[in-house]
Amino acid sequence: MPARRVIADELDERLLQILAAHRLSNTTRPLTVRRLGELAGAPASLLGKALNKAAFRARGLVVRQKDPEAPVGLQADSEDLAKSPAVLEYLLQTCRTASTQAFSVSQLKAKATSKFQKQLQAAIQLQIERNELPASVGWIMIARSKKLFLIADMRMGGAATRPTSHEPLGRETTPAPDRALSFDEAFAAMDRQSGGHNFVSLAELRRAFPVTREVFDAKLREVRTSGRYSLSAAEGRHGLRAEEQEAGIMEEGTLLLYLSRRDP
Amino acid sequence: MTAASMPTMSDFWARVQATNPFTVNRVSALAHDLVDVDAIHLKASERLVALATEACAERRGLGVVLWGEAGIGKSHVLARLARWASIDRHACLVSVHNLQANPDNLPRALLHCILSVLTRGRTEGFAETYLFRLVNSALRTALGDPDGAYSWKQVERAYQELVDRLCDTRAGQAAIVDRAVYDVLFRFYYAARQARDSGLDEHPARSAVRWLAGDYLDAGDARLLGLTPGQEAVALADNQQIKQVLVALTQLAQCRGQPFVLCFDQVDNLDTEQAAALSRFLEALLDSSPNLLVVTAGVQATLLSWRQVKVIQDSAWDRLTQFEIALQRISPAQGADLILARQRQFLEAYRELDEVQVRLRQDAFFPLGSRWCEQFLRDKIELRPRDVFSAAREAWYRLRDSSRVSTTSDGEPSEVLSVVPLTPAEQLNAVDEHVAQRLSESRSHLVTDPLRLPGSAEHMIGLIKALLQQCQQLNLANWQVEIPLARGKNRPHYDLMVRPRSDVEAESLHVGLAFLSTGSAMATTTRLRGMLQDRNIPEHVWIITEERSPLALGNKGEEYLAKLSRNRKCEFRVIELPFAAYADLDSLQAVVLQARAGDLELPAVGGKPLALSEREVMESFARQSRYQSAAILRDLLALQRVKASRVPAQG
Repeated sequence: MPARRVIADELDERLLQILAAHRLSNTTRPLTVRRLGELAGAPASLLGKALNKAAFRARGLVVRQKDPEAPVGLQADSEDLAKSPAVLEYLLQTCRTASTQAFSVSQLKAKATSKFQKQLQAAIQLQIERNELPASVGWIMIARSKKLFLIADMRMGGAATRPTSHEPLGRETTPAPDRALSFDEAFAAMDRQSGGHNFVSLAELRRAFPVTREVFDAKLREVRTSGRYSLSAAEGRHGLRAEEQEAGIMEEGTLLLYLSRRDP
Repeated sequence: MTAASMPTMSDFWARVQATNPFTVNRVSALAHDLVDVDAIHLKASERLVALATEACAERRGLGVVLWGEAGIGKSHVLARLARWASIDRHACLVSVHNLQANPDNLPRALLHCILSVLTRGRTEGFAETYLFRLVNSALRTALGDPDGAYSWKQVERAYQELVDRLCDTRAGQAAIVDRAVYDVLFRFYYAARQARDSGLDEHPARSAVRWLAGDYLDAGDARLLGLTPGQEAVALADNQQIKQVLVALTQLAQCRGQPFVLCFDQVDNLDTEQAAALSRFLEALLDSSPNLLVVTAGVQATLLSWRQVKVIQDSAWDRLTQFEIALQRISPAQGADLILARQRQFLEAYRELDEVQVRLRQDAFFPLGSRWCEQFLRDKIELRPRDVFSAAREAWYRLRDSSRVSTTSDGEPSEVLSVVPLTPAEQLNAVDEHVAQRLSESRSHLVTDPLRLPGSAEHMIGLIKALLQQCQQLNLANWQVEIPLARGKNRPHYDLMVRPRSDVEAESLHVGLAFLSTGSAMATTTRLRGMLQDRNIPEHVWIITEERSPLALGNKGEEYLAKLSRNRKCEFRVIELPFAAYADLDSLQAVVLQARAGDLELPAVGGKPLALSEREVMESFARQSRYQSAAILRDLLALQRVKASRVPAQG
């Protein structure tokens, strides 16, 4: 179909433009392939083809092929991409299983596309040496090898609970309730779980209030418009997980991620 | 107002062209002339005042965290608190900005900053300072009948009895009451009073302030204050003693019936090690102080993540965040109020003009106009005050631009032009311009109020280290910067060592930097002697002072300095930083920290605000050769270029 070909022909250039704009807009968290496709308005079938075109491959860099959740950037930014907390978290998420949750740098880099592996390995090694790993990641020495892991995977003894703002993908922490929680109840439960600071990530709230995105977003709009809740931006120096990036609401160029109850 | 001095509509439109009431969209100083809408964040402001009052009334140390996203109004709320504190002397409030010191030196840098504020950085006329008034209040309390006539002996006895009572106030209180601190405070008062009333020398008062601020004193000065000098210069020994000075100040404020309030804005832009050290010290201070409110303000997500990964230990967290105050987004109606408040202030000078009055009756949002305001606020659920100011500022600029295209006879713009997106090159220019503007603002605040920039060595060390590391990160330099370890109880010979990176060939930079911002000739002599005896003296030794506290030298110090200058093993320099150069350096780091805190936004570029990262700011500095032209950095970079040019080309 000619029309379809025209779109595909232009798509690789469009993707590169979006990546360049993303870089200029100073969002330190790289886009995922899925998000890049959404921003370009490209269907998945065309997206794959565009990512494989020589023009894109010459200037673009997908951390792991054929994974829509893989971070993506420009080769010109490969140094920043290699240092990005999001990339390290993504690799750990990709490697981890229910039975193994700590990995050497070599194991992690093996999950990345070959042309990126060397740079990635050097960047992670440097972060370990300089004690500059993201707050969401730790390392431990096992059999003389430094193994990295997600802090969220760590279990602590006593009354301490593991951090809640960083749940591994695909795992539910909130016990399934006998009945569906209301929005307020879900918020209250998540707030309690994260320390009672009236500051709940939409990523957690979406899990605790499992409805479609449209329904959730409509509810969110309603509770904000009525002045009961307030959103605030995904700020902070600890970086964002892919899940959080997805869960946030884009408003006026700002990703809003945290929900708080307003004073009555 | 006479007809001649009455402004006209032409004047009004000329002022619209010349200024923009929305240019300032952030509070960078605890200004007392805030344009305020009281209803916005009212509860937060009232809560802070209530907590300060409670700390004093209940004789407790209280910690409160004020958090919210960047641009939400945290600094504004703190500025309101400062305004409340100054009105009718409600409180003794010290606002601490941009602490740069290394973690080990943070308490001393903090103390220096506080003393600097309480004495307004004076070196004479101490009877006019707040510190003097604090001691005076304690004496009035001690004497019971302050209007009576007393000899100095009687005054001193009453004061000592007051200190005894402070020791007895609570079980275990004696452990945190350091009599030496109270004695020095009394001697400060005595000397300042004698100087005022009898014209006597204020030197003892000056020495007292230096000792209380954590500086070194020579033996003679120490004796003047009743301190026991040893072989070395005398100074507050450790963080415990630093804490005791601060505890004493809160006690004195209690006698005055005022809460002592310490405000730390943008704590989230501290390094994690600095944040850890500061939180530990403040926890101990809160535990010991009977009349203290510590307000820490920052981005909630960062602070919570610090707690999660134990940058801030649980006990310190519990103390510092005993009370939580969150600032949230404002409603569109409140946004409109902000616009009106800023425009009202702008219109003040033209209120008498008939035409202005008519236009305001027709459109309350004149000159921006209701149409723009409605368009901007339409469909907004909630927003940050900064968003309002940024949008209004851009609209104002467009209003001005449109008047250049088409105006009436009065110079009134015909319509507000629409936004034109910038090209990448224009965007870079916009970044550079915005960064330059912020630098200029920061510098101007420091020049206007030099107390905001402590002359302490601790601050200078942290500042220069941070800037040198930025040069390294941008590959402007191949050096690594280290803080040498202390030699037992003694300070290292140098405060910073600039060495070649391990992967760089030998012909490279090797510089020892010593920051000697002390009035103690003895302390200077000790450092100079150490350098002379250093068997591994670096190739370059630079001593750095600041113009407000030049190098203090005794006879021995002069001798050592001369020997060092003649030493052929090293190039030796003494650099006295002019305040302006120091302010330039501090402004560079201040703007980087604003970016780190998410507080540096390029307004409405291509229609969206663009938050600048630390890296982008640093790159802008490099593009504009700001590192290359800043004091100290310029010389180090030049030195490295010379060294690098000597390395033979490979192959």
